[in-house]
Amino acid sequence: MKILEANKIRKEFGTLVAVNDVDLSLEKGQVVGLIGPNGAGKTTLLRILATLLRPTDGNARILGYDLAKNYLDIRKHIGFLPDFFNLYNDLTLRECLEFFAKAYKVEPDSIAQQIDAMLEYVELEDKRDTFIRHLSRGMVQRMGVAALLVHDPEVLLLDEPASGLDPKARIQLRVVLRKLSNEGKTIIISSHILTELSGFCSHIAIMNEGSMVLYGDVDQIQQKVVGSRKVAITVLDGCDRAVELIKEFPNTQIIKVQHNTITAEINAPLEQLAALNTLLVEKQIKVVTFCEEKTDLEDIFMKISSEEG
Amino acid sequence: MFSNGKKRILDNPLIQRYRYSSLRPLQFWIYTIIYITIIILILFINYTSYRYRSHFGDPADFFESIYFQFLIFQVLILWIWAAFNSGSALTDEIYNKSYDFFRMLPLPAYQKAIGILIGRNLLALLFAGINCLFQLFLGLSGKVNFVLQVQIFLALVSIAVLANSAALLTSTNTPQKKKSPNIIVPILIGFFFLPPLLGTLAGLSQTNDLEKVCAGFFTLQVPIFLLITSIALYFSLWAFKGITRKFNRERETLFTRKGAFIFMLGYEIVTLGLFYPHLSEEIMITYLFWLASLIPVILVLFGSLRSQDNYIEYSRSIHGRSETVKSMMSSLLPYSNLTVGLGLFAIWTLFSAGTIIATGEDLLSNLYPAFVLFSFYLFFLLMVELYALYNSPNNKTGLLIGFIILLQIIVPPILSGIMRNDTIYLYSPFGYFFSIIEAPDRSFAIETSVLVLNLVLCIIPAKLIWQRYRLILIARQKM
Repeated sequence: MKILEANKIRKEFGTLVAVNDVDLSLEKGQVVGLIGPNGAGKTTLLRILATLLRPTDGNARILGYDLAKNYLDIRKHIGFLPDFFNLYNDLTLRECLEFFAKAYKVEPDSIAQQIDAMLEYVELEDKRDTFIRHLSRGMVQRMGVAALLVHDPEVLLLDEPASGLDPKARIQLRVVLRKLSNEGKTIIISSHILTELSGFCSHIAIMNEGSMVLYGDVDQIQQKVVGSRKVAITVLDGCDRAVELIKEFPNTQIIKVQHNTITAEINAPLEQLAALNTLLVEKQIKVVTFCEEKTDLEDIFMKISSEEG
Repeated sequence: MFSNGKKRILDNPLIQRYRYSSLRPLQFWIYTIIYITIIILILFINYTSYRYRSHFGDPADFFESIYFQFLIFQVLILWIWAAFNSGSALTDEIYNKSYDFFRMLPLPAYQKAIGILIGRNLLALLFAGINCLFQLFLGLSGKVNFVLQVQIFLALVSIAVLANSAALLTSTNTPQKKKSPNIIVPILIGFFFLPPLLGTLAGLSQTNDLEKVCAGFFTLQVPIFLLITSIALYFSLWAFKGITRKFNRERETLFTRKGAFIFMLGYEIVTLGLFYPHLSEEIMITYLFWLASLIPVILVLFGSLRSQDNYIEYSRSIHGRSETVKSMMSSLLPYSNLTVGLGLFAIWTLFSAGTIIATGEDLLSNLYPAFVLFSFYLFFLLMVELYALYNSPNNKTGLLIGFIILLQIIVPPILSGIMRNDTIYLYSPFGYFFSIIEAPDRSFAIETSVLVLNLVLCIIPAKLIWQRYRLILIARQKM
């Protein structure tokens, strides 16, 4: 089921084309990491999808609602976390969540329960009666996520959620984001810090100078960009025999052998990787570990950037 | 049905949000203590005057006097304090960086506006409500005519609605970056506006049969407070419409083209209605109407001003339809600020001509000053367009253009004074306007020379504007 479908979204600020005819399509449960350098157009694209900015051209449908015509309906079903934000300093956490719950028309009977659940979700339950102005930056950031989730939105748009956070707060936020991705929420999360996104994104979208350079499944993109898979195989004994077998395997190249660990590059789909593992076991090689070394987003991004350049 | 509507208004989440912050015990009691102290002071001072100085003839005078003092108190609460609260709501959201959350709330724009106007003023409304009860008691005890009390109440509330909506509307243009608060404007307003206002209110108590005092509106005679109420409500509706538009389409102009012309027409009709009963008295009244009705020609122009970025964005749609710069130019011109400025002036001219015809004066000779005024306006319009086109690349352009306009206004009177030549005074727009009010008989040749000079002054800005239009269209072709 298509949750979000953007068609040739364009935004111009004077002669600057901030978003250049971007197409984007998201299915339910996808977690898209929107990456790109500063000024790539990520924030502008997210603000358009969040109904805060009118595109110069193009349109999108979110949950079947037209972005231009039904923006109030869209707002009811999405949650947007801006890059620089604050919440109402003159309210306590409970009051703030109660305000958002009422504004988003959460059932009155379940508001109290929902507030407790959200505060527990972002691990701020002991701060419920604290004023927001007394929270640390990391806590405000997590509280922002709680404010978004109080009406249980189907789509989340998160713009640089970890920017300005210290390492501890960053880790705490990652835990929250991981929970959300495991719950099957459809999420677009932008960042220029790539390690922030690796691990829980199912898809990546790479933007540069307003254009969508690449978009797709992480594995597909990895295959497409890097072209091969890197495997590290550790054997108990028979390392030489294993090296021979791997060399004979189609589309495979040994990169290095160190102690009993062989690193090889295989230019083939996942099935071939499984076949190599089976072959080694069948030939009586005692395989201790057989794991694919994932190319991280940083590598992919650097590779694309260098090709673009 | 009424209680349902009231419940729906109070169910507004924004009102509940402000209730949390403004009705906290500490804040509530601080304001309440100040309020009670003021009430006690008013009563104490008046009682002392009554008891020891025999200031009042009888108890009714005493109560009537306090009634009007409470009216002044109401004005301070509803027109000043509440308007300040309404006007600072969005500013607080923007500077607190919570504005995106506010914008994302899935509430219709009118609910957001009502939420702010009521929610931000819960304490002000509470105190104003209590004051109303005091006023009712004092008014009845002071034998203030009940009809007059109702009329005053309606005028008080309608102007409060207008002041609050206008304050909220102007705050939608708050810059994203925090600036030091501008306290000069409130001080100036307080200094020049408040004393005469309070003096007028104090003077009301001295006027007999105030409820029967009427003002003319076209051929109707309407009680003055009802007329004020109607006009305030009419402009409140516009302000409210402006707020909802700015909430829905934040980066767009306040007025659409259609909205600008309809507002202008409405303003002209209201102003004409007020001047109409007096037009036949003397030609100067007609010219005063011209001056009063010229105000929106300038203000509405600013409210519908499109920037260079808007032009570039719009040129994308015309680029698809036509390819050459020349053919694109013909589509760009109707979109430009020049068109709206000329349209507004055309409406003003129509009404001005109408007043000349209504007074039975010679149309051609009396309308000639309108052409001269048009030449002043054309220069002003071109300068405004220059500002709109050149301000994005360099935000100091506005300063230069403002300076040039200021020169045109002040240099002729200065030269006129130095050279002891009254004619030079006419080359300033204000000088010219005052001259047509003060001395309707002017030399045709001098008026023509003013007109020609203004047209000559228009040449350079017109050329710069044309060049910028071309650049925009060429840039579009390359995008």
